[in-house]
Amino acid sequence: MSPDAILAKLTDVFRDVLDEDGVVLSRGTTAKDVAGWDSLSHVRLVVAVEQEFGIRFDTAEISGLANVGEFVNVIARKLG
Amino acid sequence: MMEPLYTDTAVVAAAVLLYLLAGSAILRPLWAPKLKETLFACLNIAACYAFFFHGLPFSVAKLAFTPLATFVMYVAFGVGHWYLVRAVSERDRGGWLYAGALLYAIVPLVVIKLDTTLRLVGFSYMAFRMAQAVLEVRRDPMLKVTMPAYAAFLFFPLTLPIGPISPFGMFAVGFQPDRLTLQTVTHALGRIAIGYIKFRFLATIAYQLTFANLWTDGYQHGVADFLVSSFAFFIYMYFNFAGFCDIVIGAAALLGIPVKENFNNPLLSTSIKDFWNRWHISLSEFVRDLVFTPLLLGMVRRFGLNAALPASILAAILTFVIIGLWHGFQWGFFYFGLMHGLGFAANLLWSRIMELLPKDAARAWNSSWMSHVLGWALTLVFVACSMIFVEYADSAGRAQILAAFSGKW
Repeated sequence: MSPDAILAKLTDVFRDVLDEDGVVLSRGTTAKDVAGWDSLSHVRLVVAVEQEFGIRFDTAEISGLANVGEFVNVIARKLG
Repeated sequence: MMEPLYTDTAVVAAAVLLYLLAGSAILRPLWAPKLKETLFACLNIAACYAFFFHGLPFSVAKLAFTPLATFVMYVAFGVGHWYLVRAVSERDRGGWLYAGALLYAIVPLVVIKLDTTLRLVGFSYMAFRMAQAVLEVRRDPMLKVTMPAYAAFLFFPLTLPIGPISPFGMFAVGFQPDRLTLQTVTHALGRIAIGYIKFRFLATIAYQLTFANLWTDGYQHGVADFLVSSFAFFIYMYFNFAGFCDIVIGAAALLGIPVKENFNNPLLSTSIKDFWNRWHISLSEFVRDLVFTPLLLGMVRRFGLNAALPASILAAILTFVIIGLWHGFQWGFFYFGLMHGLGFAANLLWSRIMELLPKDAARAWNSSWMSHVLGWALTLVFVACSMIFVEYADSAGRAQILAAFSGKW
């Protein structure tokens, strides 16, 4: 899957979990930039991403996913 | 027995200055990293011994060894952990290794806390610093941790006594070649000055109005005095802790070593969640990463996304109880943690209730000044009251206060 496709799918997950249709993600977006993306919704986002992409994150990886670029990179790595 | 260094401020200031000069002499020049790390480790270990162990029996209350012997074991314990950190860093897998590296740090902490008369200076922070390093290398396989750098990091005298719990990655920036600018230096000096004013003066003034001072005058005190003293202790804690952290961060900046912030205007908090993003930040973020997130993740994976709310509440209560007990295994600290856990849970429930309202109404309320002021006032009162359990972690003290409480306004 291309990084752009991953980003698009990730955006859909964010919109769904945060219940916010206006969410726009770019590689530089961080938690501060998105309303409702805090440590609680972060876990829900991570689990939703795991379900959507069929992958699994390491607990240690979770806290490093606070920026969208990292998120896309890690997903791409796991998809092989 | 030799006299401890803490006899007066001038001596302490001179000793810290000497340390900063020696540290700069080691870190500033363009030497080989290995040499810098080794020298800085030696300096830090020597400084920790001089500042906190030499002739200071209070650093090692009730441990059966001399301060020197205890210090040597402390250093060996820290350096020994490096082998585990390196192993975790080099192996991609290793559930047992990872758990072992964490338990190596946490189990001794629990053991020491179990005996409330035991004390080893900075150990609470040391254990968490070590555990955090394990999380760091697991998360970032590219992070290089050499033994001298790790030793220098663990025994960095500025953060040894009361933190902040700053990550290895930040500390290691100090080894990189970098010129200090005049702006950085003046900023750092200003930070130290502000910290000193908070720690030495403002904290002392606030302390005059706490329960320990205001309520021990033999008279009865009412609700107004209760609020005054609760706030006084909260403000005292803030000035005392944040002031000292300012000094630590400023002094470390003079060495070119960034240190994690611990406070961000906590008196402006508008909710318990907001409070813990502003108070003792290095601790709350670490416990969130070590306990809250993995726990919540495990529960949501197991029970589904719909279980997120009850799972968050459970994880939050447990996390805050742990934060409370980290301060000491006493009922007062437990109640403190429990109070914050329940406050946080109330926060979560309130957010969920807001989600059930029409979007526009909820948004309007959340951005209104009234919701901010109400949230702020409630949070401040709640936190101030919770601090009573910190001022009086044991029930005897609390009973004394209750005895002097008139129950009237």
